[in-house]
Amino acid sequence: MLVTTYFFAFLFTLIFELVTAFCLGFREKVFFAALVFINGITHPLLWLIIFFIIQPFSPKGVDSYIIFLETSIIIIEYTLLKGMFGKHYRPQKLFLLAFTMNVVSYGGGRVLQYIGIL
Amino acid sequence: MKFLRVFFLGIVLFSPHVLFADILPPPDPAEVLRDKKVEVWKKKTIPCKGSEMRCIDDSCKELDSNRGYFLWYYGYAGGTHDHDRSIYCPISFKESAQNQEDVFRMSLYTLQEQAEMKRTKEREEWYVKNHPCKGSEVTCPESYYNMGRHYDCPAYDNNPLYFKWHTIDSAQIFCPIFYKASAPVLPNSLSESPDDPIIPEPVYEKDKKPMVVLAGSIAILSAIALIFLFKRIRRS
Repeated sequence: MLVTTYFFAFLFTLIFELVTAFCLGFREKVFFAALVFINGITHPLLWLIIFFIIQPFSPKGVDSYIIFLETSIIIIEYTLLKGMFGKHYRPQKLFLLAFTMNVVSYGGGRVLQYIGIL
Repeated sequence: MKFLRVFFLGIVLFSPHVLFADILPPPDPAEVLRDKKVEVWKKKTIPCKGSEMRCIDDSCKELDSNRGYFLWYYGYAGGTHDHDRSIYCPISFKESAQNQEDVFRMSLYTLQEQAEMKRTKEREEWYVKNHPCKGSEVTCPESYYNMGRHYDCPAYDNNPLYFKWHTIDSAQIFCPIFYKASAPVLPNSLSESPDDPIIPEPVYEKDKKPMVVLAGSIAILSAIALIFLFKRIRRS
């Protein structure tokens, strides 16, 4: 059950973040490929940390750690995007992208949880 | 994109045995029931605190001492085979459940329905008090084979922090043991008896392994693909 949930969460995250990038004006295929791969690194790491490090040792839940974790993810994604596309895009725009993508995907994930899809 | 194709091909080739292990077998009623519970759980937007496992009586006993969990039990009436006697012990933390229908919907047998009503009534009281579930639910092996009679679960009778109920309908015996919200605060010597130690919530191998395999494979494939993509961007 957990693995199925994870897989669909990953897919939804990709959808949310790619759509967000598209809406913010990013159109290059290489850029979208990079977003997929970057999320392919950060998303599994986030889930593994939550389920196997935080949750077993935190009886009150993971909510209090979410801000810290999401902030870390934003910084990691921004750093990777800047390293790859720093010459093509302004750092502010890349940071805005990383921030917005993660806010949208986190919010979207909570909505999907609430309505019972995830 | 070539990279994307390789990436998704890698996932498709690498993970189906993990991903669809829980999907392919046709669900039996208990599976459906379990799914419902999980669905209810997810609706409440509280992350799952435990895991679920199929266990025999002895395993449930082992879990029973964990106050961070509650367990529920499900079995077919009159079951004699292992399959019929399957006991499901999903472990959840249903702090925000608001009404009984959201929590339990089992309605297979009349007596079981009554039991559920009783149980949900208890839970409703519990939830009104807005306290997290601290207890657990076990089956009583000695009662399992004695139909139509009521037994106590003596191991918990002397624990004032718990109340319990049970009913018997053929093979249906429920012995949920809950931490009572309204129970008076007791000295530690009473609330933490040697028979009921507080154990940190475990993560079970059943859930852990496929999750690690899938997430790990995605991360590794992504890292490899990202390196190639990065080199390509640097060259161009």
